[in-house]
Parts: sequence; structure tokens; C-alpha cells
Amino acid sequence: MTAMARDNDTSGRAPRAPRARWAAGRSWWADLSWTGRVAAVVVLAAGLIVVFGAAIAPYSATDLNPEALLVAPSADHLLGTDNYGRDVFSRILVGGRATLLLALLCTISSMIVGAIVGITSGYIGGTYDMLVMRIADVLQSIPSLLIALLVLAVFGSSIPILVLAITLVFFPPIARIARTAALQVAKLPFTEAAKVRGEGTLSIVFREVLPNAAPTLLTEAGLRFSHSLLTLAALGFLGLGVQPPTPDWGLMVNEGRAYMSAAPWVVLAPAAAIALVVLAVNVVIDESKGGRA
Amino acid sequence: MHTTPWMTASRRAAAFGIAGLVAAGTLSGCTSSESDATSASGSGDAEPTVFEMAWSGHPTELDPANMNLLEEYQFGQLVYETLTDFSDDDLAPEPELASEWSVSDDGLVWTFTIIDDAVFHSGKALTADDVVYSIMRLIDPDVPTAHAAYYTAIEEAVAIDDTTVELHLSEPMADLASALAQPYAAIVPEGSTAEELATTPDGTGPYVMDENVEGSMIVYKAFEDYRDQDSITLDEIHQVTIAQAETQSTSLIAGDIDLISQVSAQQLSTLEAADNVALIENPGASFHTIYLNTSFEPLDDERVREALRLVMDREALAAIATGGLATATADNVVLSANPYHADIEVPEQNIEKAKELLAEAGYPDGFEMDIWTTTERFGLSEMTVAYAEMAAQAGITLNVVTKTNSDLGTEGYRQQPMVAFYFTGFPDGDGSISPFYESDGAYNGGGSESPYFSDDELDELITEARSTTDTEARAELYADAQEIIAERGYALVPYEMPLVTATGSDVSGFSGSAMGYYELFNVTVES
Amino acid sequence: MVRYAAQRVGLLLLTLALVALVIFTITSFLPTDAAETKLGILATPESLEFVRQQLGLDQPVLVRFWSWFGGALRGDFGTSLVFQTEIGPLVMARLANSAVLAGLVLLISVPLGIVLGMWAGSREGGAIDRIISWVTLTAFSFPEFVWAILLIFVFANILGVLPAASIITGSPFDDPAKLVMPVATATIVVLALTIRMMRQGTVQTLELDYVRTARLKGLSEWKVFRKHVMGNAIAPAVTATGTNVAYLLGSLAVVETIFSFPGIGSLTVQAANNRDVPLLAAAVLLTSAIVTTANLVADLIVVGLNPRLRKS
Repeated sequence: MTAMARDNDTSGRAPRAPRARWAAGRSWWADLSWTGRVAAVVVLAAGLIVVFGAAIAPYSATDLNPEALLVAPSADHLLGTDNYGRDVFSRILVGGRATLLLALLCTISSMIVGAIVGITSGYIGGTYDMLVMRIADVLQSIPSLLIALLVLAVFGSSIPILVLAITLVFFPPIARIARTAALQVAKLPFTEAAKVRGEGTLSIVFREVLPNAAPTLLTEAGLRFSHSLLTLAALGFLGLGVQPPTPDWGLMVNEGRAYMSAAPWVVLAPAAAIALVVLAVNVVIDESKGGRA
Repeated sequence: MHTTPWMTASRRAAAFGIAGLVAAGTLSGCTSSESDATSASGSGDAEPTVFEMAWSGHPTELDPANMNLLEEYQFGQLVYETLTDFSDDDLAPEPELASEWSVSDDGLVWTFTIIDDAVFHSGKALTADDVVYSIMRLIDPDVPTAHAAYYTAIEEAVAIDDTTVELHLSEPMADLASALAQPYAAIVPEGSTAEELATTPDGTGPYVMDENVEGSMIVYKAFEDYRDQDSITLDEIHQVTIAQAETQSTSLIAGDIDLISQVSAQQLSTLEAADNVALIENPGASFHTIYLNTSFEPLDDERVREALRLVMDREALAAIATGGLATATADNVVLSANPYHADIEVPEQNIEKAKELLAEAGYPDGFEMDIWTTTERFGLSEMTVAYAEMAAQAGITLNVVTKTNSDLGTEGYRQQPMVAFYFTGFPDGDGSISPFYESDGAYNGGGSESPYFSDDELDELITEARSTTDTEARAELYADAQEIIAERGYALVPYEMPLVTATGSDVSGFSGSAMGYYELFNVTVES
Repeated sequence: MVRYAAQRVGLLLLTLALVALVIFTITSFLPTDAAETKLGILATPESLEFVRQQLGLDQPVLVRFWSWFGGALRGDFGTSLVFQTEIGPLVMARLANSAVLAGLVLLISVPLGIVLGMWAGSREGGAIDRIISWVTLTAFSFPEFVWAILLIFVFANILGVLPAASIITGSPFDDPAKLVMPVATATIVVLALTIRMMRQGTVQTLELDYVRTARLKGLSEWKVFRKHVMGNAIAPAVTATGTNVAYLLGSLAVVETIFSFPGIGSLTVQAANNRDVPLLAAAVLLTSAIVTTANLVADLIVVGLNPRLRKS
């Protein structure tokens, strides 16, 4: 593999010349197929839900309505009501905010922890590096859902613990990528030059390592987001995630399951929501990597 | 770069691994089918009749004295026997291992005559010594068991001869015969330890535990030496744990199982629509309750408790949690199936009054508190969430915390301010009120801690009613007690529910029971 | 090679010991213990003390870890606090059941995934590739529990041809109908992942310089494929299988729970819900051991085939 990449190689494996980064960003949208653009719009919509969800919801997500239990989708209630009489559409919007925000939080947390751990590990090297990589190995040897189960079983299912559990599970792969990037940059001539010039370690990290690892890290972040979403949904389904009455898509699937025969919309709406967002994120990532979906 | 024929290499790798896994699987199949060789089934040459019943939880405690859950009582009902049994029609005590009993005039000595043809699964014959051992074990202060508090009136059990046992009481207990019909009073062989009973149960009951697939299924086989062979019509019974209500009904309709022990209200419409399902409803069999732990501020203030009572819209809760199956009640723990049930007027929701009371008590802006619940009892979580929403209207913020059912008992009870519980009804007068409302009641602190609730007037009524033998007089006393409970009780009971059981329509001879667990005598399944 | 393998096995054991330590440390934070679980609603301080002594819960943490891990190495995992039975045989029996599920899933998804993935990759951008890519993308965007619910709804509720619950005693092969939906559910996602991994690998290989050179030299497409792509596909295929085992064991926790299948996954979830610490720790430890071993085997195979990859 040559050290300098061809211009249209978006795999991000080798460091890029600084000018190419900006151009890549602008051509990203142009490179997307129409399906990719649809997916990007969906992702944007999800982002809007996170910000404005509660405001655009037609009804409250938690108000009871004993008169209107398990009503089928209609003009009044776009996605029907659940067994408490709550409007499902509103719950999807408000729940989306909670679910997506939580997934975002987990992603950011994993990225930060992973980046710090990986970069420092690659840069410092030696025993520290070996130790850290050993711990990452250990954490990757336990299936992610099981670590989460373990942590949640012991510490309970509060939001901070959920974020902690997911971070613990997802930071190792990110740490590895960050570490590889750090190692590659550390070998490059201009890093030596920077050191000779007296530039501090931190500034080298921020000015050289991070930008070069950025494309891969970004892709990885997208993957972590969809994985977080799926894992949180699974935990919610098993009853170990977010607790009622907070609307959460995974929890809604779990709670609605009992009414599958009588009122399938209670289950199908949140399930479709999860799948749609994950699908959209995956499509965007897929196309951004240079492949076509 | 060398190119080995990849198909072979990685295919080999995959195949090797899979072959190993499959071999492991088949091996497990071979070793676990050895159980089929043991304990032959009771009836004749035809295909053994297997009865599959679905429960939402798995029995984990097999020692009768420590049982707490309905699925465990079911286990006890099949494998063990008690001195008396609840009759099918009115839940009055009838003979089982005891053929007759009498009470002395002062009510302090009960004499039981034990039958002489009962045999334990291990082959040992039942004698009075086993009865004495079993009862003394229940109340042994050195080896604490879960239900000791229920039997505090018993001081001593004495074997007069091989078939006669005397129970000496410290105070009269009118419902002793009923108390001894409870599954925790099962008769175990003399000398059996808790460890033995937990792993190798040995009872006189009609079925033997053949296999226990933890968390999943218990296989019972008919006991060949049971004294009443004619009543045993099922060769094999499977107590299967299926946690999801949806799966239970799908399995029943498909014919994969024969009985759903407790139908979730949400499944009723599906099951009613199916044409091969029979539903049996036993009214007034269970209830949901919210315990208010009076040692937590501000629940120690009775105005606050009254406010919590007033925010409750009981009909709405019944509709939401049980799809309308439940009937709203006035916090009454004596259910409608109980002979001593009194009709108390159900209070209406009154948010304004609740706010007033809160302001009076010093909480004009309400307060915040955790409320614990579980999803393992159908409808309980829904009731809690809906109730929290109602309380919010008066400014009270209740944070719903979901735990497992056993957590509610171990970490919730006494340690959390508000805990939601599911209870089945008790068949007798004393048994339904005193554990909750007597100052040393088993569910009220159990005598070793300060009670949730202590009311002298109520204590007096309970004690008097317990030792009165005149049924009418008792009924009046219990009616008064129920009025007091409705006024100032600490356990909120929004509704009582019937127990609905569902069987396949090819099952005959099954009559259900308000107790929530079943003896399966004379039940047949057409194959 | 043998020395390399020995090194890796040593590393595996060390990793497992650390895994055990991590598991044990986490579980030591539990606020309530098994004595409270055992005694239920009517526990008193005296009875709690009594049971705690019986269960050995009053000893210091390190002593408990050492006795646990030492026992684990000998195959003795102690007694389940909730089920009151020896953990070793219980976990082994469940593991065997899960092995059947996992085996069937891999049996279907590995060959099929390799073939479909390569096919799609070699026709990059074409109709086949697009269809396969879209289908796989959709397949793993839905969580397993959603697939399970849909399958149950269609095949058990509506059509009534398959059982909704997969409860098994004895051999899982006694009633194969019970295996169909759990295997299908897990296969959907694992197959999709495998196809994508193989497709990716194939596409990248076909873009390599020397492959292009081979084409330019006039070799037929098929010969190029056979000679270069397939050879380079072993490594990703084997590695992918290893990774998929890890993913599979995690997703089995959800799949087995939905279908009430008595495997190691549903046992882990039950243990977690019951705070049955010894059982939970044993189940997670064993599952991790399998994952690590599977990855080690995959690694050894890849390195065995291409000694140049022997660096860390």
C-alpha cells in the first residue's frame, strides 16, 4: 500500500493532504445516489425530531385517556392509541427524542473515550499501550449485549449507567482505530519535524492525528450510532433499558407486544421507527465510504 | 500471494466447527434422554397422556415452607399433600391427610386423625411423626421459614400415636384448619433438611418430580403407589414457563399446551375469539395493591395518605390495567369470593380535595417519591404507570421503578416508600386481613420490626374475630374491620380481579380454582 | 507455527482470567445479595445472617473471587442461588442447546454468505449487487426481536404452522419444528452481515493493482476470480465467521428469550434479572471463553494459511 492515497480513495486508510479534506466534504453530497440522499434526509429528520420532537407532537406522550384505549389509526390519532389511551404518534416523536438522544450520547461518549484511549495508547506506546490493548481485548471478548446485561443487572437501569454500559462495550474498536491512526502519524516525517520544532504532543494530536483519522472515525461513529440504537432497543425490549413511563422505542415494542393480535400498530410503529433510522444511517455510511447501495 | 483452493480450506474450517457444535448438541440429547428410563408412568400400555400447563414464572423454591409464588404452590400441590385441603366450591377446609379433626372447648387444643395409607415417594409410610416434624419446622425459631408468622398461634405439635396428632395453641385460632391447607404447610418426611427438600422433593402427593429444567420446565410423572389411583388420569404433567402472555395464548390455540394457569387480561379477546379454547373465570381471586410505607415522610401523615387515596380513579385503573376485567374496590383486602366480604362503597377520584389535603399537610406543591413495580405480574406495571399519571394531576411526582417480582419482596418491601404488589385472595376471614392489618401481621412487618400500620381498634376486631366461632358474629366484626380499612388503610387496593384460566376445548374434568393453583385429578385430554 | 499457536493459547488463558476478574468485579457491586433473594418477602435480620453464613457470603471479596475462579478452572462453578442446583451441569446443558442453534445458523449463513457475498462483490454496481445490498441492509437494520415478533405473528398466529414457544426437554432435535423460527431469526441478521463482509472483501480484492494487471494480461474473468479473489477471500471469510460467533452469542440472548428456548442466552438473561450472581458470572464467563476460542481458531487458520501475517 502506498503512503499517499489516490484522490478518490475514500477508504481513509492513509493520511490525506489537508486540501483534499474540504473538497471531499463538498463532493460528498454530490456523490450520493438518490437513495443515499433520501437516507440522508431521513437522518436529518431524525435529528429534527431530537430537537423539536416534543414541540410538534399533537398530544402528550404520557396523558392517560381511559375513553380511547387501543384505538386504531384514524384522523384523530395518526398511529392509533395504546393501552393507556396515549397517542402513539406523539409517543414516537417524544420517544424518538429520548431514544435518539440517548444513542447519540452513547456514541459521543464511546468516541471520546475511545479516541483518548487509542491516541494516547498509540502515542505513548510501551507497557501502557500493551496494558490498554489487553483491557480492550478483554472487553471485546465478552459479547456486547452480555456486558451491558451484567452492568445493568448490578447497577440498575438509570440513564448514566446505560451510557456507561454502552461506552464500555463500544470504545474498544474505536480505540483501535484511533491507535492505528496515531501510530501511522507518529511515523510520518512531518511529525518528526513538528517535534523538532518544539510542538507539544497535544497540539500534534489535534492538528495531525485527529484530522487524518477523522474520515474513518466518522464512519465508525455512524456505525456506533446504529449499533447503540439497536443495543438500547434490545435492552429496552428485555426490560433492562429505559424504564416506563418514559417513551422509548425499544420499550414500546416490548410493552406493545402483548397487544399484537388486537392492536398491531402499538408494536409496528416503534419497530418501524427503529428500523427506519438504523437503515437510513447505514445507507448514508455505506454510500459515504465509496460503495453504492 | 499464494492461492489455496479457498473453498476447501474455509469450508473445512467451518464444517469442522459446526460438526463439533452439532456433535455437542446431539451428545447432550443422548445424555439427557436417560431420564426417560427412570420412574415408569402409572397407567397402561397406551401412549402416556401428557398435560402441558403454561405459567409465567418458574418455581425456584421447592421447599414448601419457603414457597412464595403461585407457580411454587402449584408444584407443592402436585408433589406434596397437606392435612386439609380447600374444597372446590366454597374453599372451606376438607380432609386430605387428616381424615377428621376436633377442637377442645377452650379452643387451645386441636386433635387431628391422620390417614394410615399415605406413602411418600421414597417409599416411607406417612405417620404422625412426619406431621409433627413438618409443623414444628414451620414454627422453629432457629431455622426461620418464610411463613412462620402465619402460624404463631401454634406452640407445639405432639404425636399421640401413629395416627393422631395434637396441636397445642397459645390462643384460639378459628381458621387453623384452613391455615393448614395452605401449600406451605405441606407434610414432609421426618428429618428432611432444607437442602434436601430444595433439590430432591419427597412428598405424598399424586405426582413425582421427574425432571427440573431450571427456568424452563418441570416434568412430573404419576406416582405409582398413590393411594387413590383412580383419580390420577394424567400420566405426565409438564409445568412449562412461558413468560410472554402473547406466546401463551398462541401456544394454547395451536394446541401446543393444554392450560394457561392465569390468563393475562390483554389476551382475553384473542382467546374468546378462538373456537378451541374454554375459559373459566373465578371471581374475586386476586388483587393489586400499592403499599404505603408509613415510616417514610410524608407518608406518615394520614392526610397525605388520604390524598393518595383520592387521586385514584379506580374504574379507570381497572380499565387500563386489566382491560375491564377487574372490579373497582375500596382498598378491600377481603375479596368478593371470601364468605366474609362486605360491600364497601368505592370512593370517587377527587383531585381538588387531594390538593387541599396536601396543602394542609404542608405540601402545597406536592412531593416526589419512587414507586416500585414489576412487569412479571400481568397488569401491575400498567396500573402503576397509570396511577403515577393520576397522582401527577395533584402535583405528586411518582417515579416508576421496574424490578423483578422477587426484588419487590426482598428490596422493595419495607425499604421503599411505595411498592406495588400482586396478591391472591385468602380463603378465610382471618387469613385475608390479619397478615396485612394486624400489628404483627406477616405482611405488616412480621412482628420483628415496627409495623407499617398499627391501629388498636383494628387489632381488637381482628383478635376477637379470630377466636369467635359464631359465623354471623364474625361477619359483623369483619365488616367493621373492612370499613376501617377503607377509611384509613395503608395498602391501596384499586381493584380485585377474577382469576381466568384457559384450557384447550379437548380438556375435560378441569374446574379451576380461585386459589390460583390446581390439583389435576380426573382431568383428561383427548389426543 | 506451533510456537505461535502456543503463544496465542497462553494469551487466551490470560485474557480469560482477566475476563473473569472483570466479571467478578462488576458483580461485587450488587446492593442486595442472594440471602435476601432466597428468603423473600419475610426476611428478618436474623434469618438473613443465618443464610449468609450458609452461602459463604460473609467472606472478603478477594477470597471469594479466588475460590470462585479456582473452582471454575476445575469445572465447579458452585450452586445457583435461585435454582439451587449445581451451575456446572446446568450451564453445560444449556450450552449444548445453544450450540445446536448456533451450529445451524452458521451452517446456513457461512456457505450462503460467502457465495452470495462474492457474487455481489464481483458484480459491483450491477443489478444483483444492488438487490443483495439492499436486502442485507434492510435485514440487519431491524433488531432481532422485531424479526422474531414478525415471524411469530405470521407463522404462529396467522398461519399456525410453527409453535410460538420453543421449550425443549431432552434433545433439541426431538421436535425440529421448534428450532425453525429461532434459527431463522438469528440467521437473517448473521447472514446479512456475512454477505456484506464477503462482498466488501471481494470488491476490495478486485480493485487491487495486481488483479487489474491480471485482467489486462488477458486472463478470463473467471480465472482471475478463482486465482486471486477466492484465495484472498479465505482470510476475511474465516475472520468474519469468528466475529459472527461473537455477535451470534450476544443476539442469542434476545432470540432465546423471545422463544423461551432453554439455551445459555436465555439463562444469562434470567440470571441477570434474578441477580443470581454465581450463575450470571459463570454464564458470561463461558460465553466469553467460546468467543475468544472461536476468534483464536479463526486467527490460527488465517495465519496458518498465510505465515506472513504472523505479526501481532
